[in-house]
Amino acid sequence: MPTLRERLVEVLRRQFPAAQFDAAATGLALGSFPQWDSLGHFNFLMAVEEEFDTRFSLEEISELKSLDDIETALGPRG
Amino acid sequence: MTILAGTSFLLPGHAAWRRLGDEAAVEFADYGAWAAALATAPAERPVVLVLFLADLLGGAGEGEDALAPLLAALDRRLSQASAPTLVGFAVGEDGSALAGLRRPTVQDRAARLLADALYQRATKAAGLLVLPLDPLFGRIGTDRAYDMRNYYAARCRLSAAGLGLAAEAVAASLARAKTPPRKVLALDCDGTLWGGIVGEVGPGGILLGTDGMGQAFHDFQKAAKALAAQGVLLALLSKNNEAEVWEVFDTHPGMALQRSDIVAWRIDWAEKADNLVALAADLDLGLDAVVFWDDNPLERAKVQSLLPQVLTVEPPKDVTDWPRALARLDALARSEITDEDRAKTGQYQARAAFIGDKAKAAAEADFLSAIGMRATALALGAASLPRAAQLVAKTNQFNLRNLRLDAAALADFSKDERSVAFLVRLADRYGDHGLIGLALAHVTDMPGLAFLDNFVMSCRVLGRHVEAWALAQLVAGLRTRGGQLLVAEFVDSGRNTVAASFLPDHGFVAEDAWPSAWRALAAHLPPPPSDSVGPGTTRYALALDQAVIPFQEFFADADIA
Repeated sequence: MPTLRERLVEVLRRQFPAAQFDAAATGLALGSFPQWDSLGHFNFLMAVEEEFDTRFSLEEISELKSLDDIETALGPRG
Repeated sequence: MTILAGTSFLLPGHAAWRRLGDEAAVEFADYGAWAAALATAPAERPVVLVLFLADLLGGAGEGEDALAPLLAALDRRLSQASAPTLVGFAVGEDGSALAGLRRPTVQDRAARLLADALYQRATKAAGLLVLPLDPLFGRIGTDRAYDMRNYYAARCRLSAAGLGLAAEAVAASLARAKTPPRKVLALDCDGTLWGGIVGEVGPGGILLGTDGMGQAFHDFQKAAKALAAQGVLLALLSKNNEAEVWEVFDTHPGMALQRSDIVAWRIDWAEKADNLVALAADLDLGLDAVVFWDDNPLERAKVQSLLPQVLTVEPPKDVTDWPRALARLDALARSEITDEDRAKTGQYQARAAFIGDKAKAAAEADFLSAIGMRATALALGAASLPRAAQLVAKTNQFNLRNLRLDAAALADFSKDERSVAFLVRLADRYGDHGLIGLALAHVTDMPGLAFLDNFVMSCRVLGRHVEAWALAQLVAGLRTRGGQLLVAEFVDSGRNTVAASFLPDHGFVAEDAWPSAWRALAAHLPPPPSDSVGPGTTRYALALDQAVIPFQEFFADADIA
């Protein structure tokens, strides 16, 4: 079974199919590549919600900026 | 490339919009810049405007005042654009249901004003497409389609689900601007129009009527009937004994559909894929005009794999959901009915009525004598050439030699004094069928020898022997031009089986039984054009001075115009 991180990376690839990035890199976050701008980030968060059947609050939307942040937020909902 | 603009943000890059194609297929206007997008979009590029009344109401006042800038911008765009302009609109906010108890709410009133204004413009501007989005959002619930968190986070009023619905409807609407809706709904009977198998339980035992499941089947029929009223041609495609199906149609009180609603049918035990091909040919339509609805997954799978051009519907599991699913089928939805659609439906309905009456008549001859057939031969001329060319090009079934002459070739042919070339018009109590046949023959350089170049009859009048009437006119015309022996060919195209026995049935003698004098004469025929010769070419001949063509007694006013 894929790990939470692997699933997140998969959603990231789907949201940015043309983007080049190293999935193993630490610190993947908003701004890591050109397509991952603030609009791309919002679309990505919506895709994460769909993948994990969850919903982020408006507050979380403004706080979750990196894959680590999202992973941490999703962890307890697991 | 389509330009997409919204009164609130549409989240460019959201996966929902991939339904419109890749990123290069869509250009999003800047947030809020919908008016500028309408004003500056090149005329040849499609524009999609997604607007929410909630964004327009409020500051600028109510109703007309709030809509005026939008409509002015739209009018400017419509006056210049050659590409479609699609306006999707939704209200975007609501209040208490009780606020509308005594008068329309501000939102309701504005929505009605906007819809009226848009549809009024659509009657004049062919490029304007109007897409009300709230009914779509209502399918999943407006609370799920809208998401105010997205609004406060990114000025987008819609949820992911709402964006998905909007994008899908926009994509389907733009596709519709290029591809017309399908024209035929081919319906199975047992398990589809009614519950149960009529061959096993009889008409009294099937599930159909005004209660429970029986009513669901009845309502499914009503949905089909409503589509027919919009110009969709209904056909039956059933593995059954034909008489039992018609018995249900004629006697069951729970039927919403009537015989006269059905324009074509294949009710037998043959494979449905084969029958669908024949049915489409009957209607002179391609398989890509057909939608197929069958409760049996095996039949669906077979048709799906053999005829991918046909849209095979995957019906909802529960029959109670069928009426709604049929009504919602985009592939059959039409927002305007062309004159051609209307005429076609009428013609095929007349044909269905004719076939039904003929089947019920005790004696075919009495029936045909009583329906008042009036046939006319119309010599080919400038005015009739386009129809002649169309008949030649579109008739696949009753097409004797499959020789496809274009209008110019037909004009040349008709100018030759030795040729006989005419269109056939037929009217009877089922209506004026228009120009439904074409006969082409000529007397050759060899004295006495004539050749039948082609003979084409629209399948919608078959069963009346009008082909015999046309042949008699042809024979008379050739005789006055000195013809004595008429040589004719049936060229098997694989699709014209219906014409295979026409020649022998009307007195023509097959080549292997010709007397030697005929052989000697026919040997002078030039080789036929190569495009008309197939592997299955059979030659026949008819002695013109002795020819007695049957069935002439059914026709009045036999004259060459």
